[in-house]
Amino acid sequence: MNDKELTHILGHCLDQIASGKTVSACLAEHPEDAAELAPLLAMAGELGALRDYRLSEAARQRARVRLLRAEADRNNQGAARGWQPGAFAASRLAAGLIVVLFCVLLTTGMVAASQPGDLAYGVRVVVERAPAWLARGPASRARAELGIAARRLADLDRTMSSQEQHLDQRTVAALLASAERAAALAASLPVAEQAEISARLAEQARRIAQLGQLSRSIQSGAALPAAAERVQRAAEHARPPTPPPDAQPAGPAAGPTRTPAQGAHRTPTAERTPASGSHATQQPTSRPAHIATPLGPGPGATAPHPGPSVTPAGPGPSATPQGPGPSATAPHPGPSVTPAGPGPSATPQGPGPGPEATPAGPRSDPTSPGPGAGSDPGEGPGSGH
Amino acid sequence: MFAAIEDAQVLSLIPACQRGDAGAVARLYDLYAGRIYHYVLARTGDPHTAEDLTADVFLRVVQHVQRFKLDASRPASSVSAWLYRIAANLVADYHRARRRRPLVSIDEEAPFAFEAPDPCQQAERREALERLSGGLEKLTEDQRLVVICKYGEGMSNAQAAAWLGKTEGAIEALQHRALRTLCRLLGTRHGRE
Repeated sequence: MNDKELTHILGHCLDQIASGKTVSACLAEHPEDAAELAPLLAMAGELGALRDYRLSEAARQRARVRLLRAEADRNNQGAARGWQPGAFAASRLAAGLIVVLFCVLLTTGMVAASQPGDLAYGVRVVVERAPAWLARGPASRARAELGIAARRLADLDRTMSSQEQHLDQRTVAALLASAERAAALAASLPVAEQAEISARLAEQARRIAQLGQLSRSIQSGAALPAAAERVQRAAEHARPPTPPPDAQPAGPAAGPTRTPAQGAHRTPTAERTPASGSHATQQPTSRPAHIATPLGPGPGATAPHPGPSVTPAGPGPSATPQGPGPSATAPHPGPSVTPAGPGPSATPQGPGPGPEATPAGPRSDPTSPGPGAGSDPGEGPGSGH
Repeated sequence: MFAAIEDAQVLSLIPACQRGDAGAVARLYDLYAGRIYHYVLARTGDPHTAEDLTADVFLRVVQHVQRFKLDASRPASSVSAWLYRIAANLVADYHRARRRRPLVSIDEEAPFAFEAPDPCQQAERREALERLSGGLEKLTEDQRLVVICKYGEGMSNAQAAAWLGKTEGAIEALQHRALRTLCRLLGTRHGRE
């Protein structure tokens, strides 16, 4: 007999037993399967013992009490939760704000601490332009631009003081852009402010040139003089208009690079490089005269200044009392003597460690290979700006 | 003795339980507690433990009824299947905890003994029940449920088939295999005698 048939017979027998028939009567009906059916029917009988166990009424009552209590607790919690969504949302919002604030502070800190060459430096350069965007009127905007240029110059200074001297082009570009914007804005300002802007730009140009001379790398060695030239050009552009022609002296032009259009008030000063050897040597004239440092005397020239607006002791920002043109071949061997011109950027006897010599200083020695291109003796490489 | 549970009852009770109606929870307990008790008893072999665990099953129902999704095509069966699943989990936890628990002497289990008018008879019944539950633990869940429905609840094949969502043929086959396995594991009283 197969399993299926036995299953059917077993089911039939169990139904008969459930309806009151005895086990032996069922087995007698299926004598050929009795041996297999008997233990199964006996086990079914044993399992019937399960039916003797009933959940007692006491246990039911206890369970009902527990359930009612649990249901009440759940309802209370639900009622309490009714107030929670608002608080929950607020706490999540607060947590989100804290995270955002943290991120903002972290980013701000990273940007503020970034240095040329860093990834965040570009952001810093842009963000630090904020004063220029917020400034009202050309005067304050020009001042803001000058301030920005000064910051970039400080970056440049830091870069060149570092070991690697890795020049970040973004620094130079931002510096030039700010300087040129300041110069452009100066056109609409009063003369006094123009003079001030021009002087500050010229000062920055000198500083850049000095940094270029400190450079040990080819990249910065080429880029910085070019940048200095552009800033100097901006300074020239910002300079107040030329005085009337009657102020022009009768003497010969200071140097071959000066042109009448550049105004007689300008004091051409040749830029010198440390490698120029003798300071008495005439500088090449390929560079336009307006790039020359306004206050610096010629490279060792001591000839009387022929410029029309030169006042020997004049404090004018661009006046150099006796500065001849950069190409003047005067007998004076001094490298960059500024006899008495106390202009804003000419400090004849400044105590600074600048490479330029004062008349009484040791740098007046014609053999001194002072690297200073400008005429500001008080402004050494580390003297700031 | 077996009272069928109508789908309509379940269809009204479960949403009421989900709304937090304490009366509905009590009615659900009354409907299903006996069946769950037999299931737990068959698997634990201890009437007191079965009572406690049955109550625990319905406490879990109260906690989780909000998330329960009623099968509209067979509401009563879906609720019973859910309840048996909860009971199975609790019984499994019980057996795990019991394995970790140190053995206790029979004196510490005295309260059960005092309940019986005839301690010897009570001990014999208890021994038989423990023996059966030990065998039932070895069955598959389907076989076990069929045995409990048929011998605990006294259901016919048709009722068990409807309750468990199976065909009558499947119920018969499961019953046959379950009895054969139990005979093999436990022997029969006659065989032992």
